[in-house]
Amino acid sequence: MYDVDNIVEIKNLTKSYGRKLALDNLNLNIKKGKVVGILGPNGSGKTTLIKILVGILRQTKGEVLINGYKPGVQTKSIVSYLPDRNFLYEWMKVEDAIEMYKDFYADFDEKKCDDLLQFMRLERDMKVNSLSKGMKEKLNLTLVLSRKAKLYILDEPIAGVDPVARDQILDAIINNYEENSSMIITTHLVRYMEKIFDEVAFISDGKIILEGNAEKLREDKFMQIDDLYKEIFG
Amino acid sequence: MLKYMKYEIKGTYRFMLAIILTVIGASTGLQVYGNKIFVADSYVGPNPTGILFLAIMGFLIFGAFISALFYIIGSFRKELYEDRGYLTFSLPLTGKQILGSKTLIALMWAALLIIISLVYNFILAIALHGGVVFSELFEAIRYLFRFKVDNVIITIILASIFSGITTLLLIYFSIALSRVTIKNKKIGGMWFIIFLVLNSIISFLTLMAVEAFPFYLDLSNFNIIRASELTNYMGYNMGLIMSTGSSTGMIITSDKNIVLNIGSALFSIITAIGIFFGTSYLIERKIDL
Repeated sequence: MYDVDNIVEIKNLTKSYGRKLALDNLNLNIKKGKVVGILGPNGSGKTTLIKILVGILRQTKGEVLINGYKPGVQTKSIVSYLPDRNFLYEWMKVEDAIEMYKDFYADFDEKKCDDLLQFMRLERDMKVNSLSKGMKEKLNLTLVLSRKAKLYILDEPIAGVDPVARDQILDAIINNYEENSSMIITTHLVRYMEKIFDEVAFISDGKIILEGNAEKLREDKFMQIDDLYKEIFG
Repeated sequence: MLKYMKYEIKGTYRFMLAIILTVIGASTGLQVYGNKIFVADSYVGPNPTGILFLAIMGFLIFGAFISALFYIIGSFRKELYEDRGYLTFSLPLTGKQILGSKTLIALMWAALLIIISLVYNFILAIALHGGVVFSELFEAIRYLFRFKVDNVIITIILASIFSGITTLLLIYFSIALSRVTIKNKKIGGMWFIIFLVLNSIISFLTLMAVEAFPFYLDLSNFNIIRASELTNYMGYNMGLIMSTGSSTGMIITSDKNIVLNIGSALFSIITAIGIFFGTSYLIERKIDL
């Protein structure tokens, strides 16, 4: 039975690639209005989980509900997704990408987008192809955060960017996050992101091995989430 | 869907424009030089350099058409194999909308390329051979538009368009099926083998449909004729038999009667619809990025 307080419900989710299990009977519920960190090393199943939530990868077994719906056209209109790669079309200018988001997402806020572009020092006439990795990441995040989505899903938003870009991206996430929305962020760079999380879930070999309120975990374990991460995966 | 088509056009127009310009340029080269090897209506013949020039122009035109075809195919393939798929498949669009947009834009480019090439070459031929007299040129254009379009031409054009759409959809289906079944991205050319196999199966089944349902429809009066009565019905006027791809089972006589095998026509239509829905299903529900 679907709980209306949950934006995401995951039951017994399994994904296998041949004999390899990427997700192993994973269970997780995410409450509306929370920022949740899915933490785990490379290859732990974070991206696989995210792709299933977004509807671009099919599970082998189990059930996923986003706001009560199975991933599909309906959920894609309420989820704002930042993949872990440059997903914009190569021929695009920044302007084209903004137009596309405006055309397809009714929740796109152009004013917010302009503010973010200014903050990220991006110009509308820049070509996507000519941007550096950090700049592309900033543009992708600008587009994703400019939506007033019910659920934001950010897959490794600060991986592979320089410290200056990283701080800018973190500031953008903190300052532009919609209060009534929910957010899922995957990362293995916990130190830089832990202040953002309300809840955290540690994932290893396709299973959630520990989850809970970030503040409570700090109190119970007498350590920062980053130190807890190192203790678990170190 | 229209919104997605807008971005399909934006993403492809530069390349297709270059293709159209290449065809126009090479056609001009062919015709202008071709015109020079005729002096006072007698054949002079090209010199070796001329032959090389004509060959290059010919290859340019052929290459441009082939490039356009592969570009159209590649544009679909990229969605399934490259990072851009993360954007396309996270848009709130159904598989049918994505596939429909891609197919319509591909057809639009194919039609534009063919029409521009034919009309340009026709006008250029009139201009070169008839002398560059603009009044004659306009007369020629008027003649082109007054050209009597009879049922046979319309049928052949419609059958070719239908055949083109079916082939394109089958290519898309083969690419999607190859992506779903063969996870190894390095084996990218497998779709072509799947396409050849499926195409053979469909052609075979179309022939089976002709045999299984041996009734023909006369498109001029909608009479239904048994296959056994076909020779008597048509007399000795069976001129042209269309037997390619999805048009199998269409017979056009020299006195311009068109009879269509009902079984194969129905089978072809159902197959095309089936391929469309099958491909839509694969890209919406089965593709793993």
